[in-house]
Amino acid sequence: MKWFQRIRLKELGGLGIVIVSSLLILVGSISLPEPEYDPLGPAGVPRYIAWLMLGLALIFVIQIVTATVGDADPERSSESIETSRYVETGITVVAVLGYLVALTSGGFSFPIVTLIFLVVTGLTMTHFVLAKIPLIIVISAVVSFGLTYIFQDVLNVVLPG
Amino acid sequence: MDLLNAFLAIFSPAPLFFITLGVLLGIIVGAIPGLGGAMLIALLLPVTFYMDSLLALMLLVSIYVGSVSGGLITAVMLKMPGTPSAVMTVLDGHPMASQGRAGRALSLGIMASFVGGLISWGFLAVLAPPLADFALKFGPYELFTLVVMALVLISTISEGNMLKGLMIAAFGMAVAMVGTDTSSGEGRFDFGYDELAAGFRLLPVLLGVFVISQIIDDLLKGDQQISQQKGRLREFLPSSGDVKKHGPNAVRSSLIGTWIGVLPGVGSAIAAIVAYSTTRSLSKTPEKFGTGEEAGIVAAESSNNASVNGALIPLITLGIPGSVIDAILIGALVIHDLQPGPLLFQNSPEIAYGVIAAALVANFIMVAVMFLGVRPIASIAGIPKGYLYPTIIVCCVIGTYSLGNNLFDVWVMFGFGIIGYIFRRGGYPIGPFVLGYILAPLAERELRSGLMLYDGSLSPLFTRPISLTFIVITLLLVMWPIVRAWMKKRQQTKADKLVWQESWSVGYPDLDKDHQQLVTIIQRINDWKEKKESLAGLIGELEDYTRYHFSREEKMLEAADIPGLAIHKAQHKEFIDWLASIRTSFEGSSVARSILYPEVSQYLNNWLIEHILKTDMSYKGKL
Repeated sequence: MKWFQRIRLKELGGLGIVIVSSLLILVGSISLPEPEYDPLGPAGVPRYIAWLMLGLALIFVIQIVTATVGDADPERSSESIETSRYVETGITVVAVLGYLVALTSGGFSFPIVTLIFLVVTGLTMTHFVLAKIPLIIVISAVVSFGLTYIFQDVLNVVLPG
Repeated sequence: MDLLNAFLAIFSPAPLFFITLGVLLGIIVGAIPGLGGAMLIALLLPVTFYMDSLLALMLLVSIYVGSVSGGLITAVMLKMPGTPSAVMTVLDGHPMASQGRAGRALSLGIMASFVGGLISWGFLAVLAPPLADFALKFGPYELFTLVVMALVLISTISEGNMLKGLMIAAFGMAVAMVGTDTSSGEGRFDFGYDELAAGFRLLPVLLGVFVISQIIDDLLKGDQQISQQKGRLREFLPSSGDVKKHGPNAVRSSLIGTWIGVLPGVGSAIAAIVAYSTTRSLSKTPEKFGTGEEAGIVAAESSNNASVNGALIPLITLGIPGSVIDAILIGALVIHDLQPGPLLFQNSPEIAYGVIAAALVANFIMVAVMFLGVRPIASIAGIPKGYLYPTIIVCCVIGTYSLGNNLFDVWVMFGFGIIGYIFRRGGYPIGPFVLGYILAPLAERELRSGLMLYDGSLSPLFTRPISLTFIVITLLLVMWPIVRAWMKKRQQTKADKLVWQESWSVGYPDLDKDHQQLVTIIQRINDWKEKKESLAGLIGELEDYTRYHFSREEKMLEAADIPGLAIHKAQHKEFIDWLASIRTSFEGSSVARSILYPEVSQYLNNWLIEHILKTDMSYKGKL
């Protein structure tokens, strides 16, 4: 099997995050002052961590290319995701973004925005079964106004929005 | 303040109420697959900010105790581990329930959990105070090497590739570096954003990687099939004979769980796996594990509960989390302005002893709640996640926002949720990330303190005995996977290939052809890893073909009125039932496949040859 066939795409995401974050640290540490009171200073340990991450990432890539690491359990690597799952997750993500934007704008009441969010996500996560709409609306209303009462009125927590 | 005073203080309405509430919530959350104690404790952290510190910690520790136990309920009733610690309980718990022995499985599990909690509590009560005193002797280099050892340990033992564990632990450490350097006051890696001056706060990061990423993962995986067992829960109370039969196993597994819990960052799931594997290897009938073997449940449940108190030992005495949940408990201590570690006994003894006392009381309350509440809790566990997850998301938003009244923290939480999901999808363990994030500031502080103390010299790392001990253990941990693989390769003798031999012929072409096909399938099972076939699929194929062959063979035997047919048919039924249980265990559980496979493979090879050469050969020439 060629080395690029051994790469499992889903592992690249994590690898990419590790590499990018280590590069960000190395770049960010350039502007930090030189050590004054201790031999390492504010940049010392972060730089060691960044180099460690890059070193480990390199070893991981070498292992993939030379196929010394593999999925010990073939059945795990065969899991696939149905298209409907992507759709529902996508809708949920959009709902979350909309919820946060609405809260950030500050122009909407928290319980109302939360109610709408709960109804949309509840309907999505229960696979758009229309018969469940009344129950979802009731649960969402109880939760949104109930949580508002508990946190705002009982615990005196400031809520967003 | 000592332990006795702590117990006296506990027996008053408020502490008892919060301990009972914590145990109940923990059991419920532990029973619901995908939620778990870590999620609930993280969600309640901002709420406990408004509570008395001791009561808050009692509540959270009780949730911890309850959540590890709660996983037993769904493991038995719904064939789904409510928490990772119950992953081994499913293997034998659900088959027992399928055989109409759900009550027996639950009662054994509950009592095993109680025994595990009790034994490990003894170690916690006895070891914690002197260990805290000893830890006061630790200098900066000792603490630094201890943290490094903890991070390497959890990376080594976490599920998946050790390299992935180390990478994500380092990533967690990197995330912790963002913000103001406490030694010099310099802002680090904020890239000009004022919101990052304080770094990424603990709660948004924890909620993101634990809760949000789990929700994303579950949404994409879809609803899991729940196989619910109904029926009367008879045989609920254990008998005195159980003490003799299962006592030694419970004690041994509790000791295993306690000591694995003590290891920084390891946790109850690993404890359950090790205890289960040990019990199976010591059993005279290892092939029965995975089909409803009572000893399997006792081993798993006593060890996972024992690990809870074991994990509290390094948390309270050294400030090093014994598990991922303990890492979150450190967050609770920090929120309440308490310093985890040896100074906790000195500066806040009522907290240290109060937590120890609460852990024992929670164990007793857990037994009562579990026995009384099994059925309703099993029903709650079946609630579709579609109703729960939206509420959980809103609770996360409220909790995160309440930290600093800043929506930036909420965005951070969702950001880490996505990052956490990307790591989960790629098979990177989340535990090392959390530990790296929590322990990195401690490691940096102690390393820099040590360098200042010893004028920039690192040699005390190797000349101070405690520090040197931790370094040696760390090196051994790094080398261990390599040494283990090398030892395995030397010792491994490839099993003789199972090949049909003419001497196995029973003299009838149809039956011989069936036997040859069975040999072929079993050899494919022997080769499943190399050939990358689905193990559960192969077991299913073997089960189907065996049913077909047994049916044909029995018809021929009946027609010829062969003596001993009833015994022959009983052997067939026993084998088919065993195959069906193993297939069920293997489906959807990589842990079951890796743990049970060696015995299953060996048993299949031996059973087939013995059955053909003895039982089937008896009808040669008689049909």
